[in-house]
Amino acid sequence: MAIKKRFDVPFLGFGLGLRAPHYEELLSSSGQVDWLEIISENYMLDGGQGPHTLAPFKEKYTVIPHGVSLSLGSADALDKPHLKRLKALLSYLNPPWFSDHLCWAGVGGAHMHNLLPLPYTQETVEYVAKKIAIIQDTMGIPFLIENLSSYVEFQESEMTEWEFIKAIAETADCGILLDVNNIYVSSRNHHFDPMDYVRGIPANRVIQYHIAGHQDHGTYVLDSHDRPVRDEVWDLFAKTVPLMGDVSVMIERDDHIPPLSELLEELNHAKAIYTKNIYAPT
Amino acid sequence: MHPPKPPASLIKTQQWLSTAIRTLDPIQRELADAESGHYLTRSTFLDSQERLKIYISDYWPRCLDALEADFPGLRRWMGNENFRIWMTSYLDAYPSRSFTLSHLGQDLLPFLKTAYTQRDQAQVIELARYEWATLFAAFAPHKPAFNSKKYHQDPKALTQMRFRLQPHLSLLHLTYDWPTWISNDTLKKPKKKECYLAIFQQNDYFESYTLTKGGYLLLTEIDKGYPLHLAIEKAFSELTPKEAQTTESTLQTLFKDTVQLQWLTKRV
Ligand SMILES: [Fe+2]
Repeated sequence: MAIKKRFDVPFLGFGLGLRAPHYEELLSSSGQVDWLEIISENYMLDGGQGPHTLAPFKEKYTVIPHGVSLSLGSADALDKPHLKRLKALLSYLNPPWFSDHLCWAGVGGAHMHNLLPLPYTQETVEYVAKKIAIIQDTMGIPFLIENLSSYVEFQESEMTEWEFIKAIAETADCGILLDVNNIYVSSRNHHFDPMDYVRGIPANRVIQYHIAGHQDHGTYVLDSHDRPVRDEVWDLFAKTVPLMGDVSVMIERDDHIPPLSELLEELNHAKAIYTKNIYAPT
Repeated sequence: MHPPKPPASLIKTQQWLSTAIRTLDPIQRELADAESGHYLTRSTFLDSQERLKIYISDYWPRCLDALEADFPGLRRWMGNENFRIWMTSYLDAYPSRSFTLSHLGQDLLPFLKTAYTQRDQAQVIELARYEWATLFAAFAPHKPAFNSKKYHQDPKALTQMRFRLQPHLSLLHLTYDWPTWISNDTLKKPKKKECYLAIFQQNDYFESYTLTKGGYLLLTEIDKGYPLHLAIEKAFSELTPKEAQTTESTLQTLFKDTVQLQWLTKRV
């Protein structure tokens, strides 16, 4: 389905995360990976491995910064030095968009080094949307919020997760990075129909996908990024694609990183599903 | 745009959950578990306490694994299990305050100085200091270096100048040969050997430079902010005649290297 997107950004195609074991191959190979995603924080230290180390990749690929520690939903104020470092990275890469998670990562100055879910309340919507607006204003390019995998939900929640994401994205006027695996994981942990979630997301704001592997522990499902994408997630991806229009795709693998050839096979599989379903009747 | 005010209920919920995940205090633990049903819903298979446990069992291994990767020598010295016990107490006393796990060890030295009162405290502190210096060198900032060219014609002005060393540079006085021990798994114990090192950033990684005692003292005094001539005076006053002789003969090389390696920054 052709969908007019809220932001005028390019469709990047099919990308992978930039991980150390693949550096050389990514620089020497051509045409198999359309674009790269980096973990922003890896290039935001004061010295050492700064943005400059991305120079050869930047020359060859569009590099999209994806953050894990903006901690948008924290009751703590936004960390100004952190925003300054992020701005420096964005200025260097000049990407069409950047992203981080709709979560909080700590409170009272302490960091939990995890992506923690929020209570889905109207008050939280307004609070987080204002913070996103500040971030987007500061950075001057579209910002995407990513849906989490979560293992708890709060008693005080007043709406579903997809209603919460929609409300925040529309109030803040930002984009969405839709992690299909995270929808699947949370649907199993919180017992909802993942297609209700997908249908509740405003398609015109979805700019990027994440697809990843998870571990099934029986009583709960863990988002692990350490194994191939499972069939349940490929199925959900196939059903999601025709509803969202053109959306750049990326496969996440953070642990037990396999040879690049293995990830390329997965990426080709993603491409085949995408191509087959993008114009499928909805 | 003004920073928004967080809703009171959000502050309360987040404070509760962050304590519930991190606490090691048995009374706080019991309270957090008892309150979990007030804050969290249950799923078909797991009650609120079991769901909370998923986050607890993520937090500790994530942080401890990061410290294990950062302090392999300390882990080997203490033994695996003992290392994890001490690092758990450390994280309990000094929760992470940085967005990156790379900074997780930044308070380890003050912790060990006060909490680690075992017989090998001196060795443990020295080893931790060495390993932290190698980590810190790789990610600390590099400031614009002092350019000595202008002062070639005016050495007197140079001796009046005050400097600061690069933030990424650590000066270490070691009594054991930790670097050799760390790089050689077959060595049971480190050799007792006094050495003076400068650990600094080079090509995005750390580099080690061996100093004389005099060179170590001199750089220490320079970093304190003494003008060069006073720093030299102070450093030499602490040396034996033999040490002074060695230092004097290597002073020129040290200055050359110091400038070439860009260790000096101008003091503002
Ligand atoms: Fe993701």
